[in-house]
Amino acid sequence: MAHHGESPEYEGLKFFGKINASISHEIRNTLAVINENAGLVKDLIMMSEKGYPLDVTKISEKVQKVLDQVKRSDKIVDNMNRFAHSIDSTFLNINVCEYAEFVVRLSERFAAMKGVQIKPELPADPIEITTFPFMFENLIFLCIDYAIQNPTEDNIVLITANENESAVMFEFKGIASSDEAENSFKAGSSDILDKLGAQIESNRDSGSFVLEIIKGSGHTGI
Amino acid sequence: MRPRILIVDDEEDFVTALAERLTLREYEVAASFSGQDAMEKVKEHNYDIIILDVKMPGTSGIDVLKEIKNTKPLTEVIMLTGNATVETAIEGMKLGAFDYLMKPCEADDLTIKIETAYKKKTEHEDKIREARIKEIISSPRSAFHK
Repeated sequence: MAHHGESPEYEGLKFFGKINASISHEIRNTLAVINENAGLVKDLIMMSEKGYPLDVTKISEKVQKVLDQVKRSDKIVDNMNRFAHSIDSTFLNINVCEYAEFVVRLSERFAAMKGVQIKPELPADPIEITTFPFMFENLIFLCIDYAIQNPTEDNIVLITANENESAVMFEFKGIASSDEAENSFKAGSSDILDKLGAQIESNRDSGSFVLEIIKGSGHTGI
Repeated sequence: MRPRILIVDDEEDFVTALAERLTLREYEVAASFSGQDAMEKVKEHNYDIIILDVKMPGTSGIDVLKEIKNTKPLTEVIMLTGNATVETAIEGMKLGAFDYLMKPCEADDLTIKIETAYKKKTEHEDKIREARIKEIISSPRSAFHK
């Protein structure tokens, strides 16, 4: 969580670093699975050369595990690539639901570490605003991070979205936060909120908060 | 006697394959896919070596390490880390872990660390046994046995 006074640029760098560290960790995990399964196949083949019977079914099973992990790695790299390119345009018309879903995918490992499940229930119809995509992702990530650090007992964070003529609203439910955590979250995200023309309204009684982004009020660039 | 090993990692396909490879090398291997499950297994069984992932959902590897060192201090722990930086693994070593390896790791490197850790554990156990024998012999009650 950022402290008040950190610039959106620095907050953006921290976000970029955190996501990259998480992605590289995931890639290492897939490589470790590939390494052990390929190594096991090699072990079994070496044993067969010494006269032990070769279990073809087992070999085939282990090769399939390797192929599955290659597919998993491919998805991780796709996410990494898409995330890296989100910095390309500083002013773009985007479907915020699609971008929020993407940030949820990037955040899943952080949530899993905390034993929290993030459930986005976002509308299928696009909700569009013109904004700086990377900073929007950063803001959604800060909201998700706050939610997964302060979940209610069921450890489920629900995200919904809707819009009216003037604004887009994201609601985060399942929050059990202290005054201190809430104040720290609001202070840490204040500069990005200002840049994007957004604000946060929390409702502690219902365990939720709403991120409201005013259409057409966001700044461009960093 | 071959070392009894517990592998703890939430990546099930990793644990399963590594367990099979170590079994082929004639180790006695058990698997655990969460920190919580590992702590229960450690209470119920006596493992010589625990291969422990640092980052797991729920109970972290560091928490499991603290529990192992609290309940079975002689059990040696080899930490596994997926991070390029090794701060957490070094924190683990300060808490009593024997060593660490980065994922993905070579089977030969892991086997060397297992053997070295096992040697350290058996030497430690031997020293404790010798100290107990000396204590029994030198205590006044030992005269009773003469």
